[in-house]
Parts: sequence; structure tokens; C-alpha cells
Amino acid sequence: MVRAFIQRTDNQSVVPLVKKIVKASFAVVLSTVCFHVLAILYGAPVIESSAETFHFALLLSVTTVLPCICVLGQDSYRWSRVFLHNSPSLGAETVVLFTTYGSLVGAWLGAFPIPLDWDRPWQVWPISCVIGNLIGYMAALAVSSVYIYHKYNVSKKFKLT
Amino acid sequence: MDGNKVLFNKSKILKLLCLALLLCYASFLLSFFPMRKPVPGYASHRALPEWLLRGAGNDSKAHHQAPRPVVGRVVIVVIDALRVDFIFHENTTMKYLKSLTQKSEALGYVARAHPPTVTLPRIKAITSGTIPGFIDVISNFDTDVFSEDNVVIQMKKMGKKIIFYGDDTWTSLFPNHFLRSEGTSSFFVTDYTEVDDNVTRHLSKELEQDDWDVMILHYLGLDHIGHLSGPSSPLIGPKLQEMDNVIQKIYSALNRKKEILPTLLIVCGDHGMSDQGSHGGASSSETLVPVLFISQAWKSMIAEIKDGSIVQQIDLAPTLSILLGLPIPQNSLGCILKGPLINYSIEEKAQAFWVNSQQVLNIFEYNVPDYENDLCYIQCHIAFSHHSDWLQKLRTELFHSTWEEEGYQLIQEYEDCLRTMSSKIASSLTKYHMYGITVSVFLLCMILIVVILTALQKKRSNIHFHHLPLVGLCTIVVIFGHVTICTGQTNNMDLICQKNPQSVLLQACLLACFFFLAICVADLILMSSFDSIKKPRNVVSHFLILGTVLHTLSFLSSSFVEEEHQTWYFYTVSIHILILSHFISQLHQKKTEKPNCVQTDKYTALNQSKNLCVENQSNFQIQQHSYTKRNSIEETKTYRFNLRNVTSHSNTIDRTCSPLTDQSVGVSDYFEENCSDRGGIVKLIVSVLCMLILSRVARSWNQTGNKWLARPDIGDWLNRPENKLPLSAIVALSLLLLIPARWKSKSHTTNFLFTTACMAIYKFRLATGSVYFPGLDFLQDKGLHEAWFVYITVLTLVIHGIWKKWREPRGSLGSPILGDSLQSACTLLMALLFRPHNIPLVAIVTYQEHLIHYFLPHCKLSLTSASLYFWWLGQTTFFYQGNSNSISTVDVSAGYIGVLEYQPLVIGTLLALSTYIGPIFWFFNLLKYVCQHQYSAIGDRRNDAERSQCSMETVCTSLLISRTFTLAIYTALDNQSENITIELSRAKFECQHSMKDNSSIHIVRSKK
Repeated sequence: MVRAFIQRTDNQSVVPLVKKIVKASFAVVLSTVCFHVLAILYGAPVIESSAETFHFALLLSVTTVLPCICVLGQDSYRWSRVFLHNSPSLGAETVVLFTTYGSLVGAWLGAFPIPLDWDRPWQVWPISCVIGNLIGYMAALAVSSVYIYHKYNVSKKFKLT
Repeated sequence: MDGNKVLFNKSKILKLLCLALLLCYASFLLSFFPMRKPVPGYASHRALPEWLLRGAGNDSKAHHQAPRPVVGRVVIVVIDALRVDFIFHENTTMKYLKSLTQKSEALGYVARAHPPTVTLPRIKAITSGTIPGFIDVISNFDTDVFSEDNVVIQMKKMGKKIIFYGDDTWTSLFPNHFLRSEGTSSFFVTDYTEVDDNVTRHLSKELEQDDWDVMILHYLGLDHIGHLSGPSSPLIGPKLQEMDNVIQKIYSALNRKKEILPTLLIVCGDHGMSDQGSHGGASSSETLVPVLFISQAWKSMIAEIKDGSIVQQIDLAPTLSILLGLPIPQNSLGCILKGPLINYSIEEKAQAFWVNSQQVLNIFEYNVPDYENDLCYIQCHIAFSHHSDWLQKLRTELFHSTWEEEGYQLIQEYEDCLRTMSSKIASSLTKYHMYGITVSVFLLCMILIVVILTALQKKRSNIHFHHLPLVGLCTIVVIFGHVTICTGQTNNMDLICQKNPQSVLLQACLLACFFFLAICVADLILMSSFDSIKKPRNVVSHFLILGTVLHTLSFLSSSFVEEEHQTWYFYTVSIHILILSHFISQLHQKKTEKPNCVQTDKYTALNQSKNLCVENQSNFQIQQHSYTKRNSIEETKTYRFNLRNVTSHSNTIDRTCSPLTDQSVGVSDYFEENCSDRGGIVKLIVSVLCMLILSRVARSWNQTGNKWLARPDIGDWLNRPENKLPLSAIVALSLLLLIPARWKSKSHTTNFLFTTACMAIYKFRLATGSVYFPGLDFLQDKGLHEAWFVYITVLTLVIHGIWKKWREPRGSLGSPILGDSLQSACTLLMALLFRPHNIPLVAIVTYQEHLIHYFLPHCKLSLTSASLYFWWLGQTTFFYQGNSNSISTVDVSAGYIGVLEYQPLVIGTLLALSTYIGPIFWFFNLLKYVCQHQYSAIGDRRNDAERSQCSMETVCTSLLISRTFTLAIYTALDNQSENITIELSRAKFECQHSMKDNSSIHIVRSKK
């Protein structure tokens, strides 16, 4: 995806590229802070294990916001089309839509085993959420590829008739 | 019978369903917590068999009975909530007691008490050696005479004179057994000095007297301190020291007298204290208590027995009986402690164990069905024959030491078989009535089906008498089945199979309940037509329903029951984040099309209709542009172009997708309402964020549950004695903040009342000594007047609200004045009944309520979702308060605020109010919300009254469904899990929840 991002801009000069990269990283940092705050609102300890919470937030924004920026760029119109109207183009946009939701839902579901009394080392905050996030991300990748394949076939058939 | 006769209308059905729910749940509870079956009568001395007499007969003649008494006078000091580490810790302040243990004059044990760790069952356990049933917790506040065989009755029968001072639970359990007694009331939890002084002041006089044989003292102060401020409170040290001095006083006075038989002093705790200062649960800090036998008699010999193992609290009763030469109480399951028997010879010890085994064997035969084949029964009889052989050997054996060794082995053998027998009996005592449970669960499931069916019905239809023959047939089959099952072999002792009047009445009620439900089910399934379930409109509604189902299923795991608060906290944050994302997306939609509202509406409406139309319309433009482009910029352009096309062809689309027209009109309505400006939506977003922050603060106020209980929280910090100043400041601040929050411009009287009541609450806190006020140091009275003033204000507010409601035209629920005044009353009650450190929570909850009434109307929740939403909030508030599913988190002191005497009804009401005020508060909020935002979606052609009635019915139905669902699942799953304590408390809470819900439903219904 990063490659696609670079490819798209390689005809132009370097300055806008750097500008874009700076903007993108700024967005990632901002979203990391947002996710950190969100985790705290969800009940993560404020001071204790704040490094872990921050890493979790970073991972979340890398699996959600970063791919979106790479694919959708800064065009808010495309963002709203993908996320608000749920009508992405068949391709990278669909993948991004799926992985974003997948990793968020995965991280959300990852919090469920924490209160269980199994006393396993992975039940400690935020390990299970990190695992859930990654699993959700991967599952979304798989599902989106299947979905795109299916839709592509359907549309091909549709075009022929 | 007229076939079309309307049997019940919907509101009647709801009421009857509530009743049926309560009935089924009651019968479930009765079958799940069966009563114990004690051996009737009182124990007497057992005639010893020939071989035992022969064995013991050669050295003394008077051994027709149990071992001779070895102690004369006995003093029992029970210290309420004496935890193990209060005595056995290195830095304990009970110096004298510690020195006694070191001088080997005291024999210390750690005893495990059986849960429930509440005073009344514990006293019963200590005196009778039985394991009281779980039903005894509920009757803890309501004591009557203890008629089962116990040590006190046996003492009295043997002509011993008993005197008693202390907790008046004893005097109500044993009203005529004491020579002299004075009970101190345990109902002023805030008082921890006077209760103990009232006991101690009798001591010096009584210690001079010679006319008593047994003295029992029960000190309550320590428990009160625990309830007030926990086990780490600085008050604990001096209190323990005071107890130490009392023990020293008694012990030295006893030793001054020279008597034939040595005197014995027993110091024990009835139950422990959790780290929060409460008790009732099964954690080791609550169940482990110290037991000390102090006597000069075993001064020299004690070194040889160092028994460090944990014993049972019920062992105290048989040990005491043996030492005093009394018969062991009939139903005791305890096993004699070897330590205090030092003064007996080895034959006498063996004899004592023989007596104990005989007595436990008796209960075993009474309770276990085929006891002859049981392993421990056989083991016990082997021990008897060993005993006899061993006594035979006495004469032939030459080496005394090996013979003695065998004696100790024999005693060990006895002890082993006693322990296994008693644990087996204990488990057989808690047997469920399976049949009763099955029937209740079945009926609960039927209720669930009926409620769901009524909710799904298209119209407000009624139940008719169409299927009487079918239902009658079913009922007859059920009656026959019931009779067959009850006359069968295994179930004849079941709760709903007995022949006593109560059981018959219960059976009749259940049958009627079944009949009613069968009619409903038959009618609803066979006759009515259903809508397909109305789809909830947005993600928020979906999530509310999904979350409720998930929460119920989470009861499968006991740790989710223990940590239920985590589920609720997680849910409330998630729901608000969903709402937040909803608003953000709206904001974005505003941003994309700037110019003016009408165009935006059209755009969004058409945009949506476009999405929906794609499949129907073979609009070639859309097809053309959909999948062909790869380059995204270009694609966006074409997309826009495409849209413009669609906009220009809007008329065509409207015509072609005629079913969609309604929807697009609806959408534009929706946006016209909200599209005042972007600023409005930003405000909404900010309010949701505030809500989230407030809930985060509130959840860190009290840690509860099990896993993270020990984590420090804000409440702990505020409760530290050095933080009294911050506590006072924060209490004052939150009370001040409450006043503007509930300030209503209309009514000055209510405003005035509310303000003065807030001040009275602060003064009440001042009087109980939990907060400071500059210039005022300490008030002598206990704040009774202030508390009463607040109660009267609350009543006035409620009556005012009802009166206002009454004067309105009937049927309109439009004005929220009733909900408002009820809410004010709730707020005041919360501020009064909560512990001081929880008062800021009241302010937080009040402000949350304001925020919700600001943003919730814009979420467009359906009635069902709205009721679920408020139910979730209520649950969350319940846990914010520090409550949990364990009974030990109930704040007992709240029951005694402003109460002068012990009145069970008043105290029970106050306790229930202080525990459940959160859910009640949010329930009133739901009422207010429903009144304010009458749902036009329900019945557009009806008048206001009908509409409000209809919305109320929907609310009731959805609440009822959620409760029934939880109950049905929960009762069905109960049978498998093991942790009875959790279950009990959970069950109790469920019961109270549903009672509360149902009663509130009744209130609502009757108000109309």
C-alpha cells in the first residue's frame, strides 16, 4: 500500500511527497493519541502501564488509520464515501474498509477474556486486545479478498449479459 | 363459552405475567435452597457398650457416661469480626494474649467458618455444631428462638448457670436460658465504644460472684469499626488493645480463685472481615477466625501438641461439650479437637472420640440413603472394632509405649472417618429439589415465550378463549404427569410433591400459572399474525439488543458473574462511542455539502436512494462508472458526475422507485430537524465526550468484583483518615453542584426544599463525624433530626409530584413533572444514604442525566432500545456505587440512618433503597424521557392518551423481556455451577431486581 502511495506521486517533485508523508505521520500520531484516550475511557489504567497502552494505541492506528491514509489520501470525499456510505470501489478501498472495521472489532472482542479467572499471562492488559486486533486484521484481509473475488465474478457476469 | 370473548387485554396480560414471573422465581428459589433436615430432639448421654466399660472400668467406677468433665467454669468471649491476623500477626496490639500463647497457657487454632459469614448463622454454628443453611442469611435480621439441640440448651439441662452480656442476637436465640443477661443492640453501626462499654461494665461485678458456671460475652465494637472504616483503620489497634485488657482482667480474676476443676477461657471470632471491612462472603479473610483455649490447667503439657492445621468452627461445640462432660448436641457435625483434651488419659480420649463418632454416625444414618454400603460407614465400624481390640490388649500388652502409640493411631483413625462423614453429610444437606427446579424453569421459559410473542404482535391485540379444549387437554396431561412423577420413588420428598397445605397451595398456583400461560401461548401462536420484527434503525439499537443478549449469556461463566461490573462499564463506553461516531458522521455529512439545508437533504436522501436503487434500476450510467476505473482521482470525478446525473434525474428516480419515496422523505425530515447548524452537532459531540469522561471518573471511584478488588481507588483514598479535609471539600462541592443541577425555574418551593435538604445532608455528615466544618467541631446528637428532615423532604417532593400529576387531565403523560420530582427525591435519598465518599457520585450521575437528555433525543432510538439503554445505565450506576454480586458489599450502615429503634421493615426498605437507588433513578429517568419525547412512530392516528399508554406498554414489555430472559437463562444454568455463595447472592439480586422492575411497572400502570 505504501508502494502504491509512492507510485502515485512519483511523477511529481519530492516536496509534495515529503509534505504528504509528514501529514500522514502527523495523522497517525494524532490518531494514536485519540486511541490512547479511548483506551483510558474504556478503563485502562491512567498512569500505570501507560507505555503498554500507548503501544496498543499505536498498533491500532497502524492497522486502521495508516492504511486508510495510504489508500484514500487526504480527500475527505473519498473517506466519507468509503466509511459513511459504505460504497468503496472494489479493490484497495474495500480492503481498507474491511481491515479497519476488522481490527477495531477484533480489539474490542479481545477485551472479553480479561475478567476471566484463568490467570494466564496473556490476560493482562493489553495483550489480549493486541492479539484480538491482529487476528481481526488478518481475518478481515482474508474475508475482503474472498469478497472482492466473489464480487468481481458477479460483476463480470453482469457485464456479459 | 363465547368464542370471541376477550379474556385479557394487553395491560392485564402484562400484570399477570409479572405475577407469574414472581411466583415461578419464588418456587425456584425454594427448591434451590432447601431447608435442612435436622435430627429432632435433644441428645442425652449414651449408654456405653460392654467392651468400652470393661476397658475403662479398671481405674475408675463412674464411667457410665461420656468422659468426665475436666473444666469447671467456662468463660466464652466472642469478638465479632475478629480476623486471624488481628491476633496471630507479629505486630498485634493484643500483647497479653500473645504472651499467654508464648507461655503455653493458650492453645491457638485457626478455624474456618462456613459461609455465609454473618453473625446469626455463626452463633448457631458455634453453639450447635451444625452448618446453617443459606436461607439463614435472609433471616439474619429476624431472629427467633433457637430450638435445635445445642450446647447452651445442654448446659441448662445439666443445671449449669449461664450469664450473658453482649450482642442481643443471643438473648433472642436463647430467651430463657440465662441466669442474668443484658443484650446490646447491634443496630447502631456508627457506635463502636458504647456497645462494648455496656458489656464490660458488668465484668468486675460478675467476676466477684460465684453463682454462675458459664459466662458468655459477645463484643461488637470491632465489627462496627470494620463496617465503618475497614480493617486497616487506625481505630482497630486501640479496640484490640481494649479487648486484650478485657481478657487479661477475666483471666487473672479467674485464676485468683481456687477451685476443684480448672477454669477455661475461650476467645474466638464469629467471622472474619474482608479487606473492605465487610463480611458475608466466602473469601479466606472472612472465613478464617482465631480460636483460643486459655487455661492454667495445661500450662506444662501444651508444648507437646503443636497443632498448626486449620480446624472447623463447628468443632468448637463438641469439644466444649466433652470438656464440660455434656452430651454432644444432636446435629453437630464437628469433630473434637485433640488439643484441649490433654488432661484426659489416652483411654478417655479414645472414648470421647467414640462418643463423637456414634453421634455423627446417627446423623449420617438419618441423612444418607444407603448408608450401609458407604465407605466411611464401614471405616467407622472398623475403627470401633480396632478400639475394642486395643482395649483388650491393655491387659496383655507389656510395652506401654507401643500400646499408647496404637491409641494415637486409633484416634487418628476416628478423626479421619469423622471428617469424611461430616463433609458427606454437609454435601447431602444442600441437595436441590430437582423436580421443582425443572418445573420453575419450564414455566419461566413459557413466560419468556409469551412476552416475546406479545411484543411481536402487530396490533394491541387481546387474548381470546379460542383454544379451551386444547389447553384443557394439555392441563389434564400435565396433572397426570405431575401425579405420576410425584408418586414415583425418587421424588416424593420434593418441594412441590408434599402433601402439606403450603405445598398444595404452591402446586395449585403453579398449575393456574401453567393454565394461563398455555392459553396465552396457544392463542398467540395459533391465531395472531405477526409482523416481521421491526428492524432497529441504526447501529446503536442493534448494539443495545446484542449487548443485552451477550450479557445474559455471560452468566455461563462464574467469573463474568463476579466481574459483572466490567461488562456494564465496557458496554456503556461502547454505546457512547457508537453514539459519538454517529454524530461525527452526521457532522461529516454536513461538511461535504455546505450551501444550505434543503440541498443537503436532497443530496443525502437521493444518495441513499441511489444506493438502494442500484439493483433495481439498470441505469447504465451507474453501471458504467462503477467498476471500471482504477485511478482514484478520476474515479471520484466520475462518481461526482454520476451523482449530479442522479440529482438531475431525481424526478425519474422518485417515480421509478416509488416504494423508496417514503423513505427519502423520512430522511429529509430527519435532516431538517437536525440541520440547524454544525455548531449544534459539535455541541452534541462535546456532550457525549463529557459523558464518557464522567463515566470514566465514576468507574474509578470504587473497585468492586473479585479480581481487581485490591486496586487502590478514589474511594479508598478519600476514606483515609488523613484525607478528611479533601473529603469534606469534595462532599461540600458536590452537594453545591447538585443544587443548580436540579434547579427548576417553575417551582420555587421545590427549589427551596431541595436546597435546604442538601444543607441538612451536609449537617448530617457533620454530626456523624465524617466531614469537617470550620468552626464546628463535633455535634453530640447522631444527626437524627437532619436525616428525618431529609426523609420528610423526599416524601413532600414525591407527594407534590403525584398531586401535580393528579390535577392534570387524565391520560396525558406530556408533562415530566412527576418524573422530575421523583428524580429530585431519588437524588436526595442517594446523597443521604450513600457513604460519604460516594456523594460525588451522586453529582456525577445527575450531570450524566442532564447530558443524556441533551443528546439522546438526537439518536432516534426506538422505545425498546431506549428502555434497554436506561436499564444499562442503571446497572452501571449500581456498580459505580461499589456494589457487586456478593452479599458482603451491601452497606449495612445505610439501613440505620435516622432510625432510632430496630424496625425490620424500615431498615430493610432503607437497605434496599440504598443498594438499588441507581437503577431506580434511571428508571424514573426513562419515565421522564418517554413522557417528554412521545413517540409519534407508534400510533399516528391515535390520540395522545392512547399513544402514551401504548408507549408505556412497549417500555414495560421490553423491560419484562430483558428480565425474563435473564432469569430464564440464569435459572436454567444454575444447576451446574458450584459456587453457591455467588449464586445465592446473584439469585437474591436477580429476585430483587425483578421485583423492583415489576413493581415499578405496576406503579406505572396504576398511574394511568
